Amino acid sequence: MVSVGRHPNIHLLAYSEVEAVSGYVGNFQVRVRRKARFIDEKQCTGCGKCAEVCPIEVSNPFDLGLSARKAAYRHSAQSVPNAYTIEKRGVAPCRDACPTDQRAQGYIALVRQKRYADAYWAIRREHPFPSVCGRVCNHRCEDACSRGKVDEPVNIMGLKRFVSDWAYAHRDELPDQRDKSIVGTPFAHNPPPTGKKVAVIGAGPAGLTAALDLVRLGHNVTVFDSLTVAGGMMRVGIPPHRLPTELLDWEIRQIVDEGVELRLKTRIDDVTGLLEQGYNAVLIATGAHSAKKLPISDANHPDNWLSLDLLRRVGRGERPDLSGKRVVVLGGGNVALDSARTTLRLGAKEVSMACLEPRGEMPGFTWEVGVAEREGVRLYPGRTFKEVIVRNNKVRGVRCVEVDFRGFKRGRPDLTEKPGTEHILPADLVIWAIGQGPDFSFLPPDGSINTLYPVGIQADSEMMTTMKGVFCAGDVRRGQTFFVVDAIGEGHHAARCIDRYVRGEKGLKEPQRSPVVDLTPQEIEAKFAREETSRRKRVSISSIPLEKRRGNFLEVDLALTEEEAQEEAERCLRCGVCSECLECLTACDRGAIHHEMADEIVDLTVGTIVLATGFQDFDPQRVAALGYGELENVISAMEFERLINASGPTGGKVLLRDGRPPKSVAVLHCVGSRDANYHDYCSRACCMYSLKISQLLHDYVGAEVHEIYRDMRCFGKGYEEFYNRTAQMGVRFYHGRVEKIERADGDGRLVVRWGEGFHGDPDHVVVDMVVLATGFEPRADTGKVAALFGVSRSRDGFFLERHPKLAPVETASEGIYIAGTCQGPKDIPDTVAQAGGAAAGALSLIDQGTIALEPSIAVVSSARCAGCGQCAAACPYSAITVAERRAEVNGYLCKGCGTCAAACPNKAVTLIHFDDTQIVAEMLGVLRLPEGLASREVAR
Amino acid sequence: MTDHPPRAFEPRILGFLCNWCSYTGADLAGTARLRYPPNLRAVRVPCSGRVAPELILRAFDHGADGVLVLGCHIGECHYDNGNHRTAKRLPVVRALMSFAGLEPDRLRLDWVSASEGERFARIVEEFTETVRRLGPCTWRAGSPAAPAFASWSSVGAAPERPGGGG
Repeated sequence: MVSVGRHPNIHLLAYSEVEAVSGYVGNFQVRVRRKARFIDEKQCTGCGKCAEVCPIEVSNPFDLGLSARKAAYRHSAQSVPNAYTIEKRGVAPCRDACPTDQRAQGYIALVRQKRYADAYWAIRREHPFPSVCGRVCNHRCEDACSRGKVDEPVNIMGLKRFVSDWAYAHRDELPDQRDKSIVGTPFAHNPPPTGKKVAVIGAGPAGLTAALDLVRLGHNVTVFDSLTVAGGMMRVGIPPHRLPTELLDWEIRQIVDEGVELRLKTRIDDVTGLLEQGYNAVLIATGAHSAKKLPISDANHPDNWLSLDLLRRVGRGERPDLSGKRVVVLGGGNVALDSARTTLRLGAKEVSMACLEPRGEMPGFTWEVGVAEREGVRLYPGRTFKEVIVRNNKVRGVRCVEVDFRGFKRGRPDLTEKPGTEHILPADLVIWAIGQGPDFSFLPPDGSINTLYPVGIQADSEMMTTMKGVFCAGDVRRGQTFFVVDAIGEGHHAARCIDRYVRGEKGLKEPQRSPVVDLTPQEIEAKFAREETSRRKRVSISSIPLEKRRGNFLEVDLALTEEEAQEEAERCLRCGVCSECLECLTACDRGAIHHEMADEIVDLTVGTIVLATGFQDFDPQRVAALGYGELENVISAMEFERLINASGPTGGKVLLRDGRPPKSVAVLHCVGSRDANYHDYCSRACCMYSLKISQLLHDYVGAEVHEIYRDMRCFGKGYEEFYNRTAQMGVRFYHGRVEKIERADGDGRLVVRWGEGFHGDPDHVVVDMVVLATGFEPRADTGKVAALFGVSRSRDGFFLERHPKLAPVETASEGIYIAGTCQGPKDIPDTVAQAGGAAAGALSLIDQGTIALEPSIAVVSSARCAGCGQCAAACPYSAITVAERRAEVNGYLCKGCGTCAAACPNKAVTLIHFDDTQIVAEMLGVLRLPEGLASREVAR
Repeated sequence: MTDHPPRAFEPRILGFLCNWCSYTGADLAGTARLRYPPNLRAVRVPCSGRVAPELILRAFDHGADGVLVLGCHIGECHYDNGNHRTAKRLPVVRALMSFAGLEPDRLRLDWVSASEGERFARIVEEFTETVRRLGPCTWRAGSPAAPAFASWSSVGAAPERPGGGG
């Protein structure tokens, strides 16, 4: 194998498949797809560091599932080339669903391996605020999770929170560890300055994300915010009982520590002025912080508060005293829920929520609606608000009417009021949470930065506004509040757009999209069967008890414990196999790993083809009576080979399932062969390999060995002698046809029973272990390969040789040879001999350098040809062309089938050596009776 | 006139066997020493697609009681899709035979691959029985010879040049 790998005249295309074959001997066109390894095999030294750090483990098919291997793996210790490969099926659905392209499968795998710091870096590759999204996201990743197809999705949000909380708790140790989040990206800490300056207006998720990306590219970034605290909606929109402020502040500090200049309490009124001051680009990311009200009467009374104002005050540390007050929150979304639960904690006596949507269709998180109700919020869904009732200059209540709400159409609600359902909700304080929009008051009054109704600032596909050099991202661009994760995604995109704008060609490119993995329920079930993942149900989040929530803003939901996080991470199905956590990228010293590699198509022109595609083992699970797969310690011959191999899963020790070496073993011949139920044929090599297995068991394992055989086929050189030696060393031989293997009563050993034994011999034996000599069968895709190359298969499914005696390595297709077990079961000496034969056949063609074409080709008589083209249409090789109302045959392409001759209505085309006269003459000859005349005349 | 004892009817069956699959399959039946009725007389053609409808009709003309056309299985034709053509032509011939008063069951199209010796033997056995039951073919008994067909004795040279000959 090594000399093949090193020979200058042999091009080894490993990890490749033939997709199409056309042409003929001397001139085959073969299209090969080289699958992406994601590792440059010329650079890889086989050091294995990538496999060490890879967190994904899958069952190892080379060890027949007896061991596990990583997603970054080497086929075997002696593989040629000795390079590693990364098995990557595609993008996991969780990553595809995330607006920030977060590699969820990656950090989940690292959590499973208890590598929490590495998991944190994997998250920070795309996400600067994991503590936020780990608590408040609408987790589209979970909606897309493949696990959701069989039970419940993995608690990805919970795992993200677990990692971010762990990172915060260990924040003092983190900086000592290498920041892997930027390895393999164009970003760097303290990169060389580009000399470009960017201003960001708004220190929310979109603005800060863009700022971090830009500063890591070397640009000089200043972020302005009119508030006294940074974080935007994350800081002043999410109340502390949902997100403790210290976590977010720490994440913002990390961004500032990388070199982003943060100027708080600075409101920008003159965007054009920024450009004049020398900023090369400006990013408007001011969000949507203006809560809306309805224009109903007395909605402007001071006891009408805007939800966002309340939340902002609480976010800044204020705790307005609402004791004794009755509060009505208008709205049904997350902001309304946040406001309602906040007012409870500020001491409100009664809190109600009223909204247009019916209960099941409220835009807020369904789970949070339930929690709010349990905390004491009263829900009044399906209502519209007609009037805020004010008496003696105090708000007394809100007049509501029940409605049939059919959704928003073009921004307006489509509803009908139900007559007679008017009622008043008593209130001392009304909080408006019916929607949020951006504040455009700071934009230039001349409309040079245009806004669109009902969305936000107008922007093109490069996120640039109508003013050159001014970009926008986040809620201000969308016109309403979305989720933090959307803003982060827009922040990344804006950074790329701005980088392209200021650096032109050298700017960042948009990332490539790869196909998304879509696991079928059968594939998922197969993963469970291989024990690659746990069948446990989803772990749910716990919360602090209700009594502990009164009057404070302690965080309500608890993080997963470490044990729960492990259990939850084990539920991940690892859809993409490789999770793109990029740990391997960090580990590889040679820079040989390239995760954006794509399959490569290679077109080859060759003169001859040799097929040597091998065989597959018969699956003994098909023979139910043998108990393979059910009974412990019944193994196949190939599994035995892996056990006894020094580089195998047990380091060369043959052991029972409980770890003890077996004291007695039975070896059974003819499993799946010579049996009308499975394969009629004899697999030829099994008798000899069974003898070998018996010798190894006897010598190296020291077990008592019993071989149960139907025949002993020792046909080759030295084979019979080998059999005699095996018998002499003490292996017992019993003639028999095995009927059943079952558990012996009591002691867990196995009883093998057979019939057709010799008279006087036993008909059963009790042993510790059974090795099944499984036969050979054609590989599962042999039909597909045969069709691809145009070779036939014999009745048993192996490739068909041109003649069983005279041409065992040729096929009916000239120029295509077969060798080895793909032609039929055989052992290694015979395989090598056949391979030599096939090579000689191919060599003789190469040596001649020319091909003799078949003389039997089609010819056209121009006298009779009318140019109808029937022959050209019938030709399978497009060897006939019609020009100027005459058909012409290309003698090189014509293969002599004669279909054209049969198709011609005028008998203008015929086949040399098979024309009509000749065939009819043959016909006459064979039909002539032996006695001469019969009841009919024979026409001449 | 001598009295001949009545003879049991032995059908004369003409087979068109394609070289790559069915002819080789018949060969295999032979090397495997399989028994099948001797009534089949085989004519080897490169592909079942070579079998033009009029060759079949001429076979009936010249004394065949049944015609068996065997080719490669669909999808396995050595010449890619010659057998597709045959599969389309033969039903038309059968319909024509029926229209003209000849039993269509005297013509059978089937697929035998190079490794199917047993299948070949079985098909010949079945078809021989079918034709035996149908009795001798009475098509144009005693009629004069069919019109002459084109002579190709000059064939073997290169295809004629355009503008040459007539």
